[in-house]
Order: sequence, then C-alpha cells, then structure tokens
Amino acid sequence: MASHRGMVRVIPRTSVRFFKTLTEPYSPTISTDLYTQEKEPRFISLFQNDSRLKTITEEEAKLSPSLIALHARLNLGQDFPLATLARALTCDTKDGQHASNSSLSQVGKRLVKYHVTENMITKYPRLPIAVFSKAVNAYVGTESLSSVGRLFGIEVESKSPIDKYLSGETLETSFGKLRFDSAISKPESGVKHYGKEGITEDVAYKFAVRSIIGGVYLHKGESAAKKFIDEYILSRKVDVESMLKFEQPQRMLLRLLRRNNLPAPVSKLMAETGRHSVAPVYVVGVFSGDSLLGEGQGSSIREATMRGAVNALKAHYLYRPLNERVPSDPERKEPLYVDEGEVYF
Amino acid sequence: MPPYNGAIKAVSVARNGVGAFIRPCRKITLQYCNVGGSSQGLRDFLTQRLTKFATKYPEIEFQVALKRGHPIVRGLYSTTMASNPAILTNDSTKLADVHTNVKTVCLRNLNIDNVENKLKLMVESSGNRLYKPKQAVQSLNQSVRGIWSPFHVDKDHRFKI
Amino acid sequence: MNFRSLGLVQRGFSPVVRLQQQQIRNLVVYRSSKSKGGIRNPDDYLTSGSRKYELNEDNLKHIKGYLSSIESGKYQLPDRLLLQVITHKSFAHGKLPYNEKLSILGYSLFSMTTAKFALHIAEVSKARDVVDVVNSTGFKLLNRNSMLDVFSSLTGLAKVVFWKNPEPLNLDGASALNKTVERNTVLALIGAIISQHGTKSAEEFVINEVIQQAVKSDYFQPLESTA
Repeated sequence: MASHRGMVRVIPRTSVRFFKTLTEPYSPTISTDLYTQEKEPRFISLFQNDSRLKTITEEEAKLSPSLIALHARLNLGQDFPLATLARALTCDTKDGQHASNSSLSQVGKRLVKYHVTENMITKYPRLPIAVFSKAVNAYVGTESLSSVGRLFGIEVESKSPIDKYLSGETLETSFGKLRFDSAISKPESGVKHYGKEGITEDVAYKFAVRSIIGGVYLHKGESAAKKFIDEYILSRKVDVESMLKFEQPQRMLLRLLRRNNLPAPVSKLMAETGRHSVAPVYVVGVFSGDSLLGEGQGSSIREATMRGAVNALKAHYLYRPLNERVPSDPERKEPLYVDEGEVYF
Repeated sequence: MPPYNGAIKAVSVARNGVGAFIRPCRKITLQYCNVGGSSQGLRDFLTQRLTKFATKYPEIEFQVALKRGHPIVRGLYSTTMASNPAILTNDSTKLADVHTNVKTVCLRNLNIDNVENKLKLMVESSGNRLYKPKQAVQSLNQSVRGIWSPFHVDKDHRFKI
Repeated sequence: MNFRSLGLVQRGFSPVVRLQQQQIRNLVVYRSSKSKGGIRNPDDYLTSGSRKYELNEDNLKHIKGYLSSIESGKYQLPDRLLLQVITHKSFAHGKLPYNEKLSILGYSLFSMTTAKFALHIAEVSKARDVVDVVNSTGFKLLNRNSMLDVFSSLTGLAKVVFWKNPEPLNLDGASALNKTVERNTVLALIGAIISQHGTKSAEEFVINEVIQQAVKSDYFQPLESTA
C-alpha cells in the first residue's frame, strides 16, 4: 500500500490484556539465604545500578498490534508482560530513549548456552571438543538464533523516523518491530556500506530471541524457560555426524585403541569385485582382535580401508547412551557420563 | 601432526511443530473499496464477521485498508518450514529470501462466505511457493534402511551369474 | 559382530580374502635423556612437580578432604572422577582422562548461575529495574576470572593439579598459564558436581561455596570503597 491514510487497525479483543508490571517478583529456584540485606549490606549494595533510561510501559506497549500478535504467537501467557516483549525487541541504539535489551539478552544467552551444553553432553558424551563446541554453536550461534527469530515472525523496523511521521504512524506502533542501528547502509542503489558502528540484522534477531528467553525466565520462572528452550531451540535439527572431520583416521583409531588397552586395528579385505575392471569395489573391515569395529567400501583398497577406519571412529564418537535425561531433569537417577577426552600428540 | 583436525561448521535447521508450532501466517491485510460493487462481499465480512474471525486467531495481526479498486487479501508469512525445497538444500543464500513470503489473492465479486473461505486458506497456508514434490515423502532425516549393498545380501537371495 | 557372520568368507561367494598378520616389534624403553625414535619411560613424564600420577589416596586426599568438610559431604565425588577433575589436558598428551569437557560444562553453569544470582540480589534490594543488575559493578566482579582464583587459592585446589608446565624453570608456577589451568580445575569440579548430583546441587555449590568464599575474603572489598 502506498499510503497509510484511511487505514483502520483492528486489534482482536482477546489480545488486549492487563499485565502486571516489569518488576513483578519471579520465583527463584535457588536458595540465596546467605546474602540478605542484614548479613551482607555492602555486598548487596554492589549490585545496585540505576540507569536513567526509562522502560517502555505496559500502556505504551499495548498500542502496538504486531506486539500483541507476537505475544500470542509465542504463547507467552499472561505472566509475561507486553512491556518486556517490547524491550526485547529494542536493541542498543545511538539515540535510544528506552532501556535496551542488552541486559535481558545477557541473561537469556547464559540460560540457553547452559541448557544446550548439558543437552549435547548428555546426548553425545564422547564428541571431540572441537565438534562439541561447533555443535553447541549450531544451536546458539547467530545464524541459528536469527533463523529462530525470523520463524517467530518478528518484523524489522525499516522506516526512518521521518518516514514514520509522514505516514502518520506513532512511535508506539513500532514497539512490535525489531529496532536496531544497522551496520549496513545503502547510500545508493547497488552499493552496500559496512559501517563500524551498529549491528547486522542477524545479530539483532539473535539479541531479540535471547532476550525473550531471558524474559521468560524473569517472569515465568526456570522451568518455563527450560521448556521454551526445549521447544524452540533444541527441537531444531543438527546433523552431528556430518560435522566430524578426520585427517588421518587410521592413526587416530590406533591411538584411541591403545589408550583403551585394546588390540591395534587390523584391516581385512572382506569382499571385492571387478579387480581388473574399470569399476572395482572393495569392502574392508577394520578389526580390533576379534571384533569388527567398522566397515568401509571404496573403489580402491586404500579408500575402503580409510572409510572403514572413519566408520569405526564414528561409531565411537557418536555413541549415544540409552538414558538421555539431562542433569537439570529432577527425575534423573543415574549420574551423567562425561568422557575422558580425545587423545592427541 | 595431529591425526584429528577440527570440525565442519553446521547450523541447526528449523522443524516447526516438532517442539512448538508457530503459525507461519503472521499478518493479513484486507484491502477494500467503499464504493465498488466488487467489494460488497468483503464489506459485509468486515462489518459482520471480522471481529469474531480475528479473535479466533490472536497470533495474526489484521490490517484493514481502504483503497480504490478490486478488493484484495494479502498474507505475510514467516517461513522456515522444513517442507520448503530451499530449506532442504540447506543453501544459506536461498534461505534469506524465503523468510518474508507474501501471498496475495483477489476477492472481487465474492460473497461473504467465499471471502471467509479465502481467509481461512490464507491463515492455514505455509506461505511457501507451490511446487511439485519429486518424492512422496520428504524428510530431513536419512533413510533408516541405509544404502543397499550387493556385498551384504544373503547368499540364497543373491543374483546368480 | 564377527565378519564371518556376514557369510562372505566361508560360503561360495568369490572374494579374495587376505588376512594380514599383525606385526610384532620389540620395543626398547630409554631411561636416560630423550633420544630420537625411542619411547620415553612413562615414569619420567607421569609426574607433576614431585607428585606421581596415580589413583591413590595421597593424590586425592586434599580435594576429598575439602569436599567432605562442606555441607556434611553432600558434594562428594567418586575417586576416578576426582582424578579426572585434577588432570589438565596438557598432562601426558591427553592419554589419561582429563577435565576439559567437565570444565566447559562447569563454565556454562557458572555463568548462568551468576546471572540468576544477581537477579535475585536485585530482587532482594528492590531495584527499580531488576534486569539492570547485569550492568552493575557486583555482576562484573562475579564474572571476572579472578573470582575463580580466589576460590582455588583459598581451598588449595591449585596445588593438586596434574599439568605440564611449559616453563620448567618456573617451579612456583605463578604464571598466567598456571592461573588458567587452576580456573579450569575449579570449573571442572563444578562440572563433576553437575554430572553426579545434578544442576540444582551444582548451583547451590556455586552460590554457597564459590561466591561465599569470595565474599568472605577481601575480593569485593577494594571496589566497595570506590563504588
């Protein structure tokens, strides 16, 4: 639409709710009896920080239809104020009038990092460290979280303040949109300028998603935050097998077996066809003692041997225990298995 | 030289509905004309049924716009559905432009019931461009049966030359 | 799975099966200085300072004594895991179980717990904007690396670590590298508590022990006067 004049906004009645204020007490799941005002007054005073920036009020936030729709889409419930959601979409800007999401996103970042880490360690206890860190990053990295934010249906505020004024929009309507100082500007068509200040759209989405998680923890408590992370982040798919990379698989397998006091690997040709043809196929099994660790096939014996060693290593590193309960699960009975780390030399 | 060198970077892929389901349709704009006869059905819908309809879908933002011409409904979708072929290829350059899919349908000369049906279609759509699937089943997961190997067939069932 | 069970070798399929014999070599262990091609005597490198790496009471008595002294032994850990906690990845080329993954797990919990803790403190002190505590001096102090140093030096955890000192002449080990190794050990201890006793217990350990030790010492003092 070229003009916004004559536009009527319809706000569904059920979406207009009355929320509590931002400083509503949350239920701490951790006991902090040691640090009361009486016992440690000076320590407590270190945690006081009153920034002069005002926070978005509930009344202002209620005026944005897209914010109300986003709130309903994420099923945040009545405990989660619209004002917090509006704050979660407000990144640090140069001329920002309202408190930004930087602190909320700090809280969210730490929560999501822990829950993904414990989940990954429970699921794949033997992953090499490099693969492990990248697998965690596949969930909590910028690309992943920005994709989550886009799936949430968060819109980016693309209009400049003057455009908004000319089209008759108020400031409140933009509370439902992601607001940030973009590092990328387009001075003319076909030219992109990457500035030093500001952030990219992906990073802004990441901050918003983290902040929403932080807000869920703040207003709805720990188990709700964990559920939110389970449903929106950990439900995504990461193919860990394709992340493994081996430069010298046979050598690595030898180290691994030697460390575990098992016989050194022996490759045995198990089947072959068309040795003198243009397309030979070999199947090689890699054995340690009597047990077949892995089997590979290839068009040369060397290739098949290498694949056999890779498959043997994959069988080891991608081991998944039957009991997949994470340590934060109160119903967990058995201790978590953490491996001893990979060998290097 | 270490036998083991790093890892290959990966990004998680969305599986909407595996954990929580987010309706892809996030915004619907209804554009009508105050004078034209082709807008009659939409005008009826706006006055009689829109409030009830919008209340049913609080996760969708409804916008009503007055503009001359035939009536139009326009849906905005936030799409990273696994069913989208662009997602299946895992091509990050393609991923970028499927996020804001727009679907536009003309509502001219439709009566109030037909308008509502068209709106339901917009609400329930994934927002993906229509395409013909090549396989009956599409999945992000590998086949559980694995790849057939001639060397691992039982002797009795083997092809005899 | 035995390869014979695949039915490829004994039955009449026509593969050429070649069984390699494993080669047997005689190894000579050199006891003197390093020599090219020789394998070092494990007794030479399985030591850290004057301590020998072994699963025995002597190596673990310090850390075990500490864990049994707090909260009436609530956080006690199995011996094998404790030895892993105090072994750094630099020790013995990673041949022995080391604490890297435990410390990654511990770090993620530690940073989450400090955030939760700070939010609670803000709640107690009735801050206008609870989340703003993240920008406070106290929160920044909680997240400084030296915070963990206080704990490791007070509990004496630093003395029992097995690691390979890259500066053999610096016997005190008072280098920056040594500090990193010590911090990793503290985090690995937290990670080990998560694995054995669950997240909630580990959070209590961080708040009631690690942070409490820092509050009791003068870690928060010098900045209190300026704050």
